[in-house]
Amino acid sequence: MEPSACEDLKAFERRLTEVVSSYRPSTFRWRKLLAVVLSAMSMCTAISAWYWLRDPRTTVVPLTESLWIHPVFTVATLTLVVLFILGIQKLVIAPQIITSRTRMVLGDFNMSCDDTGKLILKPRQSNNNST
Amino acid sequence: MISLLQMKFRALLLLLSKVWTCICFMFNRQVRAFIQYQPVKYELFPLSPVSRHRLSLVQRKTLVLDLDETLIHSHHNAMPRNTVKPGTPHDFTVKVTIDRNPVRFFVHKRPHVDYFLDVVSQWYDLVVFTASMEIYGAAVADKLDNGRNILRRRYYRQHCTPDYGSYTKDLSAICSDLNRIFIIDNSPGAYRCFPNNAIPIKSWFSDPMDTALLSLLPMLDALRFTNDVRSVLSRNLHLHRLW
Repeated sequence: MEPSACEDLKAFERRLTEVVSSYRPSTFRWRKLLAVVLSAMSMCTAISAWYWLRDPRTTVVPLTESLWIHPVFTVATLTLVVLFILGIQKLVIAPQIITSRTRMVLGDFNMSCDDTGKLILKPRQSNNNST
Repeated sequence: MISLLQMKFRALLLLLSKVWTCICFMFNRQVRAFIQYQPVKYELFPLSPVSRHRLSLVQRKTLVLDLDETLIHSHHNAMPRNTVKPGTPHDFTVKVTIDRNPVRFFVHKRPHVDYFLDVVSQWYDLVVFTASMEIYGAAVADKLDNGRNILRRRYYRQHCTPDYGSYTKDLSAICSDLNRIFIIDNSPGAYRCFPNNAIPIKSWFSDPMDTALLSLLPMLDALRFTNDVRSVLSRNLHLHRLW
């Protein structure tokens, strides 16, 4: 490979790794926050669901009324649903999404990258069948 | 008296159906906006000192963009709409007169196209190069530009080279220095004379979940640090090649 092409590929790779590593801190922050929020929410939901199911009134009164009687269960469940609809889980896996997209595009150019954004150059295949 | 009532009733029904269509249309649009918010976008991170230095050493590059099936998809009233699901709301319409006939094009923007243009215009000089007619291409480019002044340079069908029933695009006419120009086009035939200056992209017709433009961003972000784009792009395997 020519030195200038090598230099170019290095600069190209440097930016890829920069971008992937920049995602890390914010993702760790999110992961911590999310772990706390989600575990608290799941605990709330699980415990309140137990009470809700054990309540003899649940089978008798209409659904809306029974949900009204158990506000903790209702609120916890709704919050979980809303969080997932908003795609909060995607914030945690953002670097993986970015690297997988990059890999997809680099695949067209006979390259790939690892989880830190480092380039993987694949050996050139023979082009006999395409020309 | 009864016929008058019937007429009023019919008018009322018509009005209600129109209101309902309007509500459905607005709802569809909201749903699409929500879906587009869902995928992870690409964040712009500041440059490291080494990268900033590198960027000052290399020239700014020109990114050539195709319109139809790359950034947008359009259909007009006389055309059967088998590519777009019925009821999908269009993003804007373009009215042009072709052969003295007024034609209305319904244009669908590829998901994330506005964000994509916003971001890449900071990295590259953008050029629109479409094989469509000028009157249509200019109107669509105006709408995509939306007053941002990022799509000022445009090339149309008259600038293409006819070749085997299709059109190829001559990149050297835009910038003679092939070190710093490349094209994103869904049809490989368009860049067959410049295979080392192209990034392929999947044709887009209607998929609201498409993320092809977002996927290109990490690659484009990194590519501006090269001195010669062909160092990277010449590794192209041309898996999409048609010729």
